[in-house]
Amino acid sequence: MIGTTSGTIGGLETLRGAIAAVASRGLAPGRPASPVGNPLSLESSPTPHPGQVSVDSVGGSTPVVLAAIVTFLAATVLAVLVTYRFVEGYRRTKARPILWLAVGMFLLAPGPMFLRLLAGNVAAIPLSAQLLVTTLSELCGLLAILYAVYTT
Amino acid sequence: MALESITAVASALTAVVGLFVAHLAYRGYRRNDSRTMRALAFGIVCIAVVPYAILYLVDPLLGLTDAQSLLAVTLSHTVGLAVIYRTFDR
Repeated sequence: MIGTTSGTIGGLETLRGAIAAVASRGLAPGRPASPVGNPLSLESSPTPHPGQVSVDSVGGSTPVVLAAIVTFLAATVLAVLVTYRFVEGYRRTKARPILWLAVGMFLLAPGPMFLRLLAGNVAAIPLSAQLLVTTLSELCGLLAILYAVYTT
Repeated sequence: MALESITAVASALTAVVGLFVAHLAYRGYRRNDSRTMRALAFGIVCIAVVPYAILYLVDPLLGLTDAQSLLAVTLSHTVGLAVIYRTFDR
């Protein structure tokens, strides 16, 4: 169990570094907007010793890291859109279950994603705390959706 | 260490609750022929259950790199959310 947890942590560490790299590049004035413009600032590290088991390997090949960042951003946008549509649905119908659905969806998807983005750029937040908070947020979101589905 | 154990338990619980919610939503789809409920069931599985399976089962089995498992998780999130979003346009 400890092994898998640290594997997860390694994966999220990659995202932190990658997102931070993207964020800092996005803010720098006069830089090319293309994400391929400066791939060296990403934490992509091909394994230096092929035959050797690397315990603390972080990252992967650059295209995979880039694809992961792009899909992460796409998922974040979609999560915000889905939550917005649920909130809109509640404002239109005033149906309580849709409100619970909106709250649950926010805690399940965009909430943890924002937390990951935030924690990736604030060094003071330890990764273990970030993982715990995002997992608990997802759990609470699911319970809210459970309530919504259960009462309909 | 304690934080990591709590996180491991919480993620397992999230996957279990996710399966249960998806089961309820799927039952709602079968009972009322509600496409929204079917999309919700599929979406919840993609957001809450598949990532857990990737990080705790597929990753240790296949030895994926961190970027590969992350890509798989975020792809699953995207597919699930896209399926839920599609139901709004009808």
